[in-house]
Parts: sequence; structure tokens; C-alpha cells
Amino acid sequence: MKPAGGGIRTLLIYNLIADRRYLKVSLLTQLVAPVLYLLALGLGLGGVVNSHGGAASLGTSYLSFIAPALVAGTALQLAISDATYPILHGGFKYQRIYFAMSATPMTSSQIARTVLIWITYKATFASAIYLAVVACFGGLRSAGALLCIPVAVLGAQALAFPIAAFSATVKDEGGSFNAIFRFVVMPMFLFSGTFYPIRALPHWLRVLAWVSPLWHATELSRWVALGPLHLASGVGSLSLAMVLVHLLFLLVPTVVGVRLAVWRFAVRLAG
Amino acid sequence: MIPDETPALIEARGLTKSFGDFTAVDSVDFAVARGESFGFLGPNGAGKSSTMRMIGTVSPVSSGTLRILGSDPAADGPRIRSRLGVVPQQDNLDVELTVWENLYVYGRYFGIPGRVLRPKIAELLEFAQLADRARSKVEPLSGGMKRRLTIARSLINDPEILLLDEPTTGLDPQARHILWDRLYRLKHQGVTLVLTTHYMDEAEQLCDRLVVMDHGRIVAEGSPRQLIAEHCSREVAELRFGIDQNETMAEKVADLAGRVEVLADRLLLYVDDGERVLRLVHERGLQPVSGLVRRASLEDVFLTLTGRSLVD
Repeated sequence: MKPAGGGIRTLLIYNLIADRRYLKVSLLTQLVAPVLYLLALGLGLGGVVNSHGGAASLGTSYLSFIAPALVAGTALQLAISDATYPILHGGFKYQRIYFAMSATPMTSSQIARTVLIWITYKATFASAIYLAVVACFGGLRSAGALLCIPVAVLGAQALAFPIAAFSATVKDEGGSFNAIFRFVVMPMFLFSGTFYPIRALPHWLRVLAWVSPLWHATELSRWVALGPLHLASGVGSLSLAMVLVHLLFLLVPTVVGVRLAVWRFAVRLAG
Repeated sequence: MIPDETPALIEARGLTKSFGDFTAVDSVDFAVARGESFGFLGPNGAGKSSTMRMIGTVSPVSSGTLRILGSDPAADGPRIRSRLGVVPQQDNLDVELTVWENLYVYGRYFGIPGRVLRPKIAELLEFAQLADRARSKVEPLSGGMKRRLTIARSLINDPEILLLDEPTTGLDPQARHILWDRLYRLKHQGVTLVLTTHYMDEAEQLCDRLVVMDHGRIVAEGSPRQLIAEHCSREVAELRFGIDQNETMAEKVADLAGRVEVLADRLLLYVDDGERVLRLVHERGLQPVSGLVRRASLEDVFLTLTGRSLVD
């Protein structure tokens, strides 16, 4: 029997209409960030690194080294911010739009999954824009770099989905979100191989990378973007086993995150 | 209870809702017939909203049976909700969208196609007297307008039952009257209304039948008139004697009334002929600061049944 109601499709219509007003602003911000980062780090810092033998040791320009990582990192950061305040403030606490939706034939599972789909959609869009800017700066060295987009999205999902589930449990103003940004997102950016290869770190710090979805996404991102070049430095090269390991470290939290989100949304909406 | 031949739109037997140790709704029985206007009257915390959320199929039943439009909410939630309209206690309109957009997206959630929605939205905006605000964002609207919009929204799917949880709480008197007027019209169009309230005037004006709830239990049931007739005298004489004197004065007038209720600021004498009692009070030389006679209300029914007032 056909389920009652318009389905997830109609919930997404809401997102499209609500976001429409911010399209211009968000497009601008999503263009400005990569331009600034690539200018400062790619050309600025990159110039210093390359001229001191960095390019030789990396096997590629500093710009093309950090670009795949920045795409993944940006998608992840955006997805996490989408998975926190909008869910808490707009969805459950102040505007309570999820409660409005739940009074219609929509189920809590549909509402939760729509939120996750929307996070995914925005991450995809952001990754594509970032990659386009990278291309303009000459930071793409192979066609495989296009795959940086799905990799970045998967990396974003791996952390944003469980966080979305967590957001559904928050009853206060969201003070814990600050803790997430300060103690999870920030260290993640510094120790996931974004700006320098992990092997530069002492062993005990390198271990941290394993729990960072950003590191797994960054490794895969460099693999698709730089792997085809078979650089002598080894940057971007991964054995098939490692590729599968990285994929697993991203797929498992993503799938678990979906289950958790559906569960927590159901609990919160049932009051 | 309503007669057996009439199919009940909503039927509850032994309906219970608990949150851990706390029982919000304690084994209540009620039935709502098609076309009637049914109310749950009680103070805050009585379990009215919890009951409404169960009827709305969003809160799972802890125990007992509940049937809405003949179906079990646990099994058929979405299908039941497609035939309900819900006006929640707290507005949950989207403040980022316009009035029109709020109605549109909500209608789409029901699976109603856009071309059917457009004329429907125009009609509802007329009904809610918001036609000139269609393109305005929701945020700057007044409380009364937001509530009218919420009601308009709840009608987008032509519901058979409209659930209203404290519909006029927080509204100024004029807004309340406009709202009541809108609800009357709906009633006359044959929509079954189920509402909760802690305002006795709202219950008296809008409800054909109501149940009085307190601490999760139903303490009385019937039409407003029946309830007053069963539990109260016809009239109430209110006497004010000044600070701290009401208590002592109560003994002096106790023989004049079937019942005397001592409140913080006045005495209530439950009698059949209020004017006569007032005269007698004056004849005895007791000099109240003020006295008035009024009809008994649902507030008095609640006071009689529970010893407390509806509004805290």
C-alpha cells in the first residue's frame, strides 16, 4: 500500500524553499573561503615550502598537495555545522519545525533521513565549488581529482551523521556544540594530514589520525587526486588494502550514524 | 458515554501514559462522536496535552486502547494523521518562510499536489483573515495572527477531526474572540473539534461535551450545562469582606448556602437565588466590601470536584 503523505521528496521541497533566500549569500561565502585559503596557503605558504625543497620532497606542488585535503576538510566543517544548530534551534527547540512535520503523515524516520540527505546535498555542492576554485588556481593534476567530491562527502557524512543524532538529544542551548568545534573539529584539522604529511609527526601523535574521519577522507582524497601520478615521494599512493580500510573507517560511522539519527529523532519527536 | 449505535470517531478505554515513574494520563475512558465539539478541561499538568498527543498519534500509548477513525495509532499513524488537523500548544510555524509558503510546504507533506493547494491556500487565507499578509514573513506577525495561521495550516488537508491544544492561551481578549468565531464556523461546517483548555469560558462557549481532568484522571463528564447542574447550584453569590476576614465571616453565613467556599480574596456561596442571599447578608448587619451574584460556571464545577481553581 502506498504510504500516506508526500514522502521525503516533499520534505526536501521545504529545504529548497527555505534555503532559497540564502542562496546568493551562501554561494558567495563558499567561493570566498577556498579563494582565501588557496591564496594564503597554496601560493603564500606554498611558495615558501616549494622553494625550500618542499615540492621535491612531496613530489608535487604544495598547492596540489593540500587542495584534496582542503576539499574534504571544508565539506566536513560545513556538514558538522549543518548537523548542529539548525537541528537544535530550527528543528526541535525554538521553531520546532520537525514537530510540525510530525503532525502530518510524515514519520520521524522520514524526517531524520531528510535531514541527513540535505546535509549530504549541501556537502556535495560545497565540495564541487571548492574543487572548481582549486581548478582555477591550477591545483588539479589529474582527472581523478573529480572523485575528491564523493570522497569529501563520505568523510563529511562519517562525522556529521552521528553528530546529527547527538543534536537530537540536546535539550539546552547547545553549549556542547562549542565543545565539539573546539575539541573535535579544530584538533582534527591540525592533525589529519591536511597541511603536512602525517609521517612528519612523532609516532604517538600519528596514532590520533586513525580516529579522525578527516584523515581517512584526506588519504582517500589524495589517492584519487595524486595516486594516478605515482609520485616517487609516495604521496597519494595507497595499497588496495589501505583503501578499503579507509573506506571502512568512513562507511561504518556513516551507516551507524543513520541508524542513530533515526532512533534519536524518533525518541525526541515522541516527546 | 455516547450511545452504542453512533460510531465513535475517537475511542479510548483505560488509556494511560507514563513517563518512567510519573503517570501523566491515568486510565481514562472517553469517546468523541462525529460532528461534536469535545473538550478536555483542566488545569496545567492535568494530562490534557499528553492525551492530545496520543490522539494525534505522535506519542505512543503506554497502556489501554485508543482508536482514532477506527484505527490503531501504533499501526496506522501516518494514515490517521492524513485525516487529522493539529493546532499545537506552541506554534511551530517556520519563521523564515512567508505565510503562503508555510501553508504550501505543509500541504505538500500531506501529498497534496501544488495545483490543488493554490486555491485551497487562497481560501484558507480568507478564512484566517490573513489574505493581505500572504507574502509577508511569519516573524513580524502578532500572536493572534500566528495562531490563526496555525489553524489555517491545520485545515490544509480538510481534516475530519481538528485537534486544538490550548488554542487561545497567551492571546489577548480580542484575538481570542476572533479565534472562537473562526472555530464556530468550522463547527457549523461539520468538522469534529477536540480541544483542551484551562479557560472555563472557552469550554462553555465551544464545547458540546467535555471531560474534566485533574492529575491525569477524568473527574467528571457531560455538557457544560449538565456539569454545572450536577455539581453546583444555579447561582453563586460572591462576597468580599476585606483582608483576613473572609475566613471568620464564612461561619456567619454558612447557614445561608448549601456550600460555602473560602478563597483567598472572597467567599463563594452556592445558592439558588443569589439576590435573596445578598439581601439576607445585609439584613444580618454583616457588611461586605463588595458583593455580586453570578451564574455558576465550570470554574465552580472544578472547584467543587477538586478543591482547587482551574487557573493557578
